[in-house]
Amino acid sequence: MAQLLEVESLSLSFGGITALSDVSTIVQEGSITAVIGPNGAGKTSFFNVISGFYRPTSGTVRFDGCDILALPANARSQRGIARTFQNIALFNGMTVLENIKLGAHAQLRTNVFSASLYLGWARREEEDLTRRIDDEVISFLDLTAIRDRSIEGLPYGLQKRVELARALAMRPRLLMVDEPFAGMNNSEKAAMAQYIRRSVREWGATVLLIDHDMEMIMGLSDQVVVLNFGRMIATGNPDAVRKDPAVIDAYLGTE
Amino acid sequence: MHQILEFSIIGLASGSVYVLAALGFVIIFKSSSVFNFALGEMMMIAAYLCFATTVQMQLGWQAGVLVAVVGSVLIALAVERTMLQPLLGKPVIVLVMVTLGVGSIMRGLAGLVWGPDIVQLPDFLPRAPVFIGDVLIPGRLAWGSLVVGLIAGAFMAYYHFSRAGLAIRATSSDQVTAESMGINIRQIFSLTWAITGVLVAASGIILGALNGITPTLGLVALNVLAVVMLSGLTSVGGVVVAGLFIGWVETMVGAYLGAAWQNFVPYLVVLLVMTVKPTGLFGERRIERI
Repeated sequence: MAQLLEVESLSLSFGGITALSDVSTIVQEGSITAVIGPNGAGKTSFFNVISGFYRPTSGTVRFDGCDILALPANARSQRGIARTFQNIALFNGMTVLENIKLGAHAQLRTNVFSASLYLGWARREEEDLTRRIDDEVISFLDLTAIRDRSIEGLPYGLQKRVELARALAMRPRLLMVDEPFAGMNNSEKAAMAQYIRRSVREWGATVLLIDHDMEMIMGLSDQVVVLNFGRMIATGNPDAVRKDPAVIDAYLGTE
Repeated sequence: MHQILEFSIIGLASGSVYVLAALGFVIIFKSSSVFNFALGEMMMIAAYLCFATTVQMQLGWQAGVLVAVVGSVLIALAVERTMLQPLLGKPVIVLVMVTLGVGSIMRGLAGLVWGPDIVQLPDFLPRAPVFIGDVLIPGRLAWGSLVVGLIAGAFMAYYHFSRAGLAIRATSSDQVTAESMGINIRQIFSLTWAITGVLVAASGIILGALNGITPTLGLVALNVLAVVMLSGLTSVGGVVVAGLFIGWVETMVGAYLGAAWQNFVPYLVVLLVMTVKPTGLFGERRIERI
């Protein structure tokens, strides 16, 4: 298996506050890696550095062998890094289909200026895109029934699924999901876990995920990275991490 | 009754010119939160470009319109690329002040080049009055508002149905998420300025054709501002309603209360609406989750 993402001694601070310090990890292609840790441990900061919203103080991030830290966020998504957000960041006032279509924006060859003129090939590309999304993404995530509905008013679990659909429409090589199981009931969780597994198996995606649900994480991931106060306190397979004294200490405290 | 109807239609027609300019304002504000104070001056420059080509160079009004639209887009892009993009990330007020400065420079330059006196565009809109039933509408106003309606309609279709429109709406809704979708938001900012260039060129030329052109033509942007405030800064559909409404109020007040009232009653209406509903009639209330 090739190494898709290599993070080396990554540090990030805002003024005097250290959000991440000396975090290193390697994500193998085709695997599922979970990032866990108590609130404020730096999990989302870690995601934001990889997707390009924060610039780290030091360290390197290599994606598929190339240093990506100099690239702006939109260029990173064009290379195949997609993500979902903790607080569901769907575009309100748009339909489910429009939201998902935006995920595929990065892959189209026509840019917004040529697409504005709506020349023949931009239109063809657009039609192909809609068909592709219908065939692949919408049916895969069982969203056919709500395809043309507005995002507002959809139940939370469905919104999370639309967000995953939008990320998958990007045909990502690295799919980063921020708290996919938060606020879901058990059957929704099971369905979401199934979608994530199939994203790896059928879409060839590599998954990096954040969540607090230990049961789901232990069942789903190949590798677990544990952060606490910005430091990486443990890494390894789920069983090893579960037994790690530093992890038990971080979650439960010592006497 | 007949007279009220006639004034109403004239009012709506003159309001339609505000609609175009206000759309140009809203699309920039929505995507980048920049309050574009140079809007009126951009209209004025476009009108002068049309005048220079049509009258001074004698090239016909078609060439004039073309030069005005292309020139206006190029000026808008130049302002955005050279002055605003380098300031991205600075407080928005800095960018707003830049637009104010650009506006004054444009006004000064126009005064230097074309002088302070009013100039007229040739009549390329038919003069013959249009009758709807037995209601009479001055020809230029009728045709001018028809053109405005077509352009505004085309813009709406573009904004709602094209992929570029989708990308603009996404950027307006959430810049960070839009960027993570691979949308180059700097390109979107440039695109919104280019679109505004087209819209202000159209409204500038039509206004110039109706009332003549002076370096202070841009002051009409104050009325546009009233329109935008009334509709609530962010609503593309609301701007259409608010623009027509302000035009109507202005004309009705002018006709029945006199020109002195005409200058401030629209603002009074805006003020009243703002005290009752600070987000404007159609504005969205943004809730930030923290």
